[in-house]
Amino acid sequence: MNRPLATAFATGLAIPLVAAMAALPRHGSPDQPIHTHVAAQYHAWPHELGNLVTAVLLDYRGMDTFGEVVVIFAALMVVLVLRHKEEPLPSPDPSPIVAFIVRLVTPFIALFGFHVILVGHVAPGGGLQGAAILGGLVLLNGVVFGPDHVRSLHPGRALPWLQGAGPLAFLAAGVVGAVTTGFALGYPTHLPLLQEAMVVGIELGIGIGGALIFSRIYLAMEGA
Amino acid sequence: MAHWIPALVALPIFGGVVAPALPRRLAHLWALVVLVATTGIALALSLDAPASYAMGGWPAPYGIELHFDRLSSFSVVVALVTTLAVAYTLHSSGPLASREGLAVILLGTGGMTGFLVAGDFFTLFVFLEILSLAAYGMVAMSEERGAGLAAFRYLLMGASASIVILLSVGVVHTLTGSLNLVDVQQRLPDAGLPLHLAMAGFTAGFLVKAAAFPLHVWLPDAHATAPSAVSALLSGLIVKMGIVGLIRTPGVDDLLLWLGGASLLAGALLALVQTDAKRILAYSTVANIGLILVGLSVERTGAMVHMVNHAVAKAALFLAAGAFTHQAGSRVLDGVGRRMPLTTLAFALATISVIGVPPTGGFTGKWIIAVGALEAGQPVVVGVLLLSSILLALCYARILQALLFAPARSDVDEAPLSMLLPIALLALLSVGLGLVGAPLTAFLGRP
Amino acid sequence: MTTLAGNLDYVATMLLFVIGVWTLVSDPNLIKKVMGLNIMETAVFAFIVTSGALEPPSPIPHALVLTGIVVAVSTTAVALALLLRVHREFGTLDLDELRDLW
Repeated sequence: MNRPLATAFATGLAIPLVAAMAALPRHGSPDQPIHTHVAAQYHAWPHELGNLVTAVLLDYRGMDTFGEVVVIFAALMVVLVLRHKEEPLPSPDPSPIVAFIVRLVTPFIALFGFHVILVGHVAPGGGLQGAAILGGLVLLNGVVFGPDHVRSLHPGRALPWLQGAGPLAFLAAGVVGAVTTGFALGYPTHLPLLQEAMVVGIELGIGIGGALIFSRIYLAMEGA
Repeated sequence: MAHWIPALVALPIFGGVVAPALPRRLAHLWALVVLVATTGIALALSLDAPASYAMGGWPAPYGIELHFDRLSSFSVVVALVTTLAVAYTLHSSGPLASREGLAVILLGTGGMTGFLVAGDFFTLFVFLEILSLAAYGMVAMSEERGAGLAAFRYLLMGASASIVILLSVGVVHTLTGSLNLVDVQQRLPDAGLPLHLAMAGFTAGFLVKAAAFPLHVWLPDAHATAPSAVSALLSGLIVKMGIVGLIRTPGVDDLLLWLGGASLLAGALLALVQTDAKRILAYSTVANIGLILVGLSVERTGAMVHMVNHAVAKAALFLAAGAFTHQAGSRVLDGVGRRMPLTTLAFALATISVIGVPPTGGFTGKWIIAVGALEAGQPVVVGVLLLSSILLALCYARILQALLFAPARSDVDEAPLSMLLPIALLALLSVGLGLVGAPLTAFLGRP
Repeated sequence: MTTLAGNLDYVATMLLFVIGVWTLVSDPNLIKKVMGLNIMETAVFAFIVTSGALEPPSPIPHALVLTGIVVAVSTTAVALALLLRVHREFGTLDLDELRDLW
């Protein structure tokens, strides 16, 4: 579509959108339905998980988070099928400063990434957030030192199973929940240790699986 | 029936996640086993419908509710057609038959079953994305030149539609504070610009997904380049998810009659000028989606009946077309039919169903919708429907003519059994569904 | 009722959305189109997050957006993988040039 037509279309689209926004319940007021209905109950109910957002993600709306990890896994599958052996790019020759700094910060970033994964149920953080950090770390090393450098990190034979750790963790939690509470993805409040294990297990699964997925997508597009 | 509803969603997804980890030779068998089991679960659930399930034990609207109703029984068709499409790829060596390719098909099936039982707006969105990403990817799993570009165009339109749908979900949540389909419907204001914006967003987004005119433009190119098994899934099942979305979400329903009529006409007219068999089938899908849209506005049961019948018949047609191309080694089908009598017979049967000749399945839906349109005082639509059917019949006749009334080629053999069986089963089913048309309609007509 | 000034946050997200739409439809480069799509997605996420703003905020929009971001990332990954293939087949990522080549 050419520029003038696109501009006209965009402007035309903006008018009803802005008008509709103006007519929404006043932003930031406490008596909006968004704060008085379901969310109010979430705030009112006690919850073992200190982080309310994690409680929503894993407990109240666990099915959606399951769908989310399936989406990213599906994206990996598509990228893998579509990959094509590319001409390897020339080995990068990083400057000594960049190489030094990347090597220096990598272990700290990795530690932080794992921390974010595990702390998610009581503080801001969680599986996918940590997976993004770890995946980004792999990308950083791949861009600076070359993809061959990071390929050696991969768990080899266990890879196809570990990459599915996110969905598999949810499926396991679903079964455990069904057995202990009678509902899939339910958390047994009468067995607090098991509940804690389920949450940490899901977060770890999403974290490790997600990090592997992000790294594999990167490597697949490099022509691996 | 305790946990069967989440199992319906979890099983194909589990199958897809595990598939890449299996040895190469087992992947097809695994996929078939998973899909047959899914079909079984869907059948069992259909006989027991309606049923609900509160995920995590949280009652709606605090948790996510899964609900299996009459519309959800379409999951039987989804699982069955996908099973046959996977069987069809048994001897294929293309990217679709790889472990990851089969994983994509399985995940797409899980996306569709999840979409069909979702009782929550955001769950609808997430599972819509699962099946959509699988669809964009599957179109590109072909060695045809231009498949990547067709898939990309599908992605651009589809992802734009998805984000518009998400915006509408956000607006609806802001207006009501809830995401449960039933709860929101009760809490929505009766009027107001944000409400209309959300309704317009849902309608526009799902019309793109359903390939209705004029938002259908991604479909013909996708079909022309995608592998035939993918075309069967795309035209047979995936675009129907757009229709399901229109049913599940509040939208601008008054528009559906007019857009349906437009699709009926446009699909038929555009099909007339095509020379490639797959493109003719693609535009036929646009027309049939138009019929379903008309059905949504005058007689919803007819729409659901036609969803089922068109899915089966169109899948048969695409798989058969693929068999012709595969055996002939090219897109030119002249005379190929004479050397492949069984495939051609199946193709002809499915054609009769799609055109809507009694007593085949395609007739049932068309008849109910036509009668519904007359009762609703819309005789023009019936005229459009008839015209569209006649024009499409001409197109299909042209294909059959090329297949049968050209000099036979000596180098073409009948399709292998792995291709022939699924095609034959689907074709027989498309006729058989017509014979059980009344019970089927009664079944789908109950709440 | 409410006014434009009171809901300025929402209005801003929609203006961002429209910029994304404009980029998607007007720029002939396919990667720019993917960027336009991402801008649209980000705008919708901004709208959803800001709708829950209060002290304490509603956790539902946060959860929706976290999931939405992952969905957007997945879509972008698939889009770019497709573009790699398009570039391999046609040698260009410009829609005008592609029209002639296909």
